[in-house]
Amino acid sequence: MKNKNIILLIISILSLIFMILNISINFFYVFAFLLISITAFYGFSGENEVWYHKSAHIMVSSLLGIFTMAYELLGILFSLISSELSNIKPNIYVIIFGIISIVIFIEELNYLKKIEQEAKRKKSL
Amino acid sequence: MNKGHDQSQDHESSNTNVLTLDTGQNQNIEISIIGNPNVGKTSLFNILTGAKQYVANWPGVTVEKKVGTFKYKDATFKLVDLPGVYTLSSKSEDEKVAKDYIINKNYEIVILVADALNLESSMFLLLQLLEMNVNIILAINAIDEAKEKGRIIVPSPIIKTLNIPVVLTSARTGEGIDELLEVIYKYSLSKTKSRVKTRIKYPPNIDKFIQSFMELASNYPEIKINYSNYLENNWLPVYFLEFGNEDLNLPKSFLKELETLFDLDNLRAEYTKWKLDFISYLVSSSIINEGIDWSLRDILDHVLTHKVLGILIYIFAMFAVFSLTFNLAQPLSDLLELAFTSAGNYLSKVIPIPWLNSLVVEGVIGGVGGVLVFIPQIFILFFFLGFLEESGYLPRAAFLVDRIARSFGLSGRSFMSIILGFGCNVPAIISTKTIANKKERLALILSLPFASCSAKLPVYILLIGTFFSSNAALVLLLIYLSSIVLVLVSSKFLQRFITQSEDIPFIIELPRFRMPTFKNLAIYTWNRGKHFLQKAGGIILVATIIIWALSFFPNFGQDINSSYAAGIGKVFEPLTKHLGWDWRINTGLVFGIAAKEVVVSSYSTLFNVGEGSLSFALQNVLTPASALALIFFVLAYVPCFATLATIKSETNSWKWPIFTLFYTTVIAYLIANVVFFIGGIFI
Ligand SMILES: Nc1nc2c(ncn2[C@@H]2O[C@H](COP(=O)(O)OP(=O)(O)O)[C@@H](O)[C@H]2O)c(=O)[nH]1
Ligand SMILES: [Mg+2]
Repeated sequence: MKNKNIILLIISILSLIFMILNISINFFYVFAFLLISITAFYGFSGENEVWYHKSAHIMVSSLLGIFTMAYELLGILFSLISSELSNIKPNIYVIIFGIISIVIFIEELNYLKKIEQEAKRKKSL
Repeated sequence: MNKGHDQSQDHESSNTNVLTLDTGQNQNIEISIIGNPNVGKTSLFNILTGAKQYVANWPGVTVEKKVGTFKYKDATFKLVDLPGVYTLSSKSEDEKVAKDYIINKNYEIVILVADALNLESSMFLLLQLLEMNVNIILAINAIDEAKEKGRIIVPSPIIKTLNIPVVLTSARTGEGIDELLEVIYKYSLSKTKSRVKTRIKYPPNIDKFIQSFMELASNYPEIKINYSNYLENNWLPVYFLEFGNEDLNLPKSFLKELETLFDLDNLRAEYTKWKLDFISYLVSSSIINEGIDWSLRDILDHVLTHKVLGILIYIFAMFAVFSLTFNLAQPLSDLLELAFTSAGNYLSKVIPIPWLNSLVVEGVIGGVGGVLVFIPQIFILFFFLGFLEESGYLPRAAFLVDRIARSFGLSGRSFMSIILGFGCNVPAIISTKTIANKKERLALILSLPFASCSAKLPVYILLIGTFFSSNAALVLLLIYLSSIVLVLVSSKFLQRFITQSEDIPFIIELPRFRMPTFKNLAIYTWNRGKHFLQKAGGIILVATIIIWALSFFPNFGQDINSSYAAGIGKVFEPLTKHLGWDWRINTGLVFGIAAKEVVVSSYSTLFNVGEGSLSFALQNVLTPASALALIFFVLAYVPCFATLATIKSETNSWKWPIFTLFYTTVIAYLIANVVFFIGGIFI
């Protein structure tokens, strides 16, 4: 993705909102969203370290979002053992954020692959 | 795989094939595996021998040599897995194990395993082995990862320059293993004399030094006797140049003479430079890179090694693991508990003899069953910890906390021992062999019992589940973080009293991120969980029966408050009364010295939970603050017998285990009081 700052901004703000929404629900998710927000936030500065600095922060923060969703899904799966389907209330915030994260992650990965291909082509010329 | 290699092999075997028939039979040909840490030595060892040695994605796992055998065609081989080393000197104990083994030459061949993505660092060892005149096969491993990174290894320059067989392998995909076997087979059968020996070409100055050194040495009969192992192939002068006189202890007069002839410092610098140049030539001519410098691994590394984010993400990962452990295991644990209670109910009806009834129902099923209900938690925790460890993530903490650890007089390396200690303290203490600094090592050995081993887990889970169920994972996280802090502070404290200082720099190599295979994870989980099951059928069962007997006699279960068990616990009551612990809590702690799980099983017996739940009984006895104090006491107090025995064997003295016994208990008691005090304010 070209416009990395916008993506970073979206991730950090969205996760902050979701963090607030989870405050009365689950401390673990508060921690998770806060961490995602901080990770994205650190992506804004320090660009001169390596060329993939921004991409790295986008990818890791979205990976954290995916992991958090995986955590929720695993929990749902296991509680099926002991309780009824109707008693299970999935945390929709986590799932929405997880799906957004997947999209961002894949987009960014493809972008990096594209750069790699171009570099190879230039090298072979 | 490559032309150069095949040719050299064919060339070599053509004049040795005749020997094949009369040597191989019934002989145990000894071969050893050596190489840098974390390059896949044990993985190759396991593939070749079919063994299931512990493989971990971080350095320093194999600290003692392991032996296995395998057959190929008509030959039987004995394979020795050595600890990972960078050089063969005697600076730390694991290096010494490897060096002593290599120097004694009771083997035919050494397989040097190198990492395809980090060839340079294996080359030092390679040259050293050549200097020692050892028969080497170079296995360049993890070739799958090199390919993934767009790196092609062309071994012919190494084969031609050094005249050794080279095989490209992957312990992950199995690539090159057949070829390795074939090369081992052929190479071992070719008689020593017919093998072409490599002579390393040194710069003229070094050559001159080697010559004069050897001439001088021939005037000293004591050198000939004491260093006979080093003299073959002129290894002694080279070793002296590289590592100095520290672990050689050559005669003083000899050194004086040598110093008058040569400027040793200059020569040493020249030798080092030559070696580095030679290595970089070898490596650069064997690697072809394609593609640009980018991989998902680098991306992850970039963020995860960030000095603030890295640690936060780390804590998050541990938090997630603990939450998963509690959440996923609870339903399974409930099912198990139901099964044990109904078994107990049934048996209490069918066994007519009162004492037997009590023994089986309250002692065995109540006690051992009370521990066994935690099987799901333990297996699930190990599974996820295994995932973090195998993927290379957990060991990275060593890198992140290196700076912090240094301010406690430890290196990041010691953090890996703490992580190992979360499983069991025994291997953790053994793993300190890789620490060269003796002072640091002793302080760490004596502090590692504070690493919260898995045997304490049932106690935590029981008490956390009873008193802090809404914040279970958070409390567990707090316990583990405290455990780390405790180890660090304790080593800093102890180092003040250990005199002897030498500072040896420590280089941390980050293990690479790897997707763990399910098989490895299963082995990991099972190996650790199995231990728990074995203990349940062994020491926990025995201890539980003893506790039952002590609580049943002398008045046949009529009044437990005047039983022998009560007598033991009451001795300590004056010390624990203000913490809210009665004699039953104390008796459980006393028997917990045998194995920490016994604390739980003895509570089940002593609180006499036939039908009602132990949680309920505990809630009537303890306040949350005294429960938290109890948790921290269990975290810190006396390590189990096995750990004490390991401390004895690693320090070669009875002084230290006895010291540990008192030290840990005093500290535990202090902490319990502090926690009780602070807990009283907040909860
Ligand atoms: N991808 C890949 N991983 C490997 C290979 N060989 C070993 N590993 C992994 O590298 C890590 C270290 O392996 P181990 O055998 O313990 O190394 P040792 O310290 O040299 O004994 C483990 O996580 C292995 O699963 C290989 O050929 N390819
Ligand atoms: Mg090993």
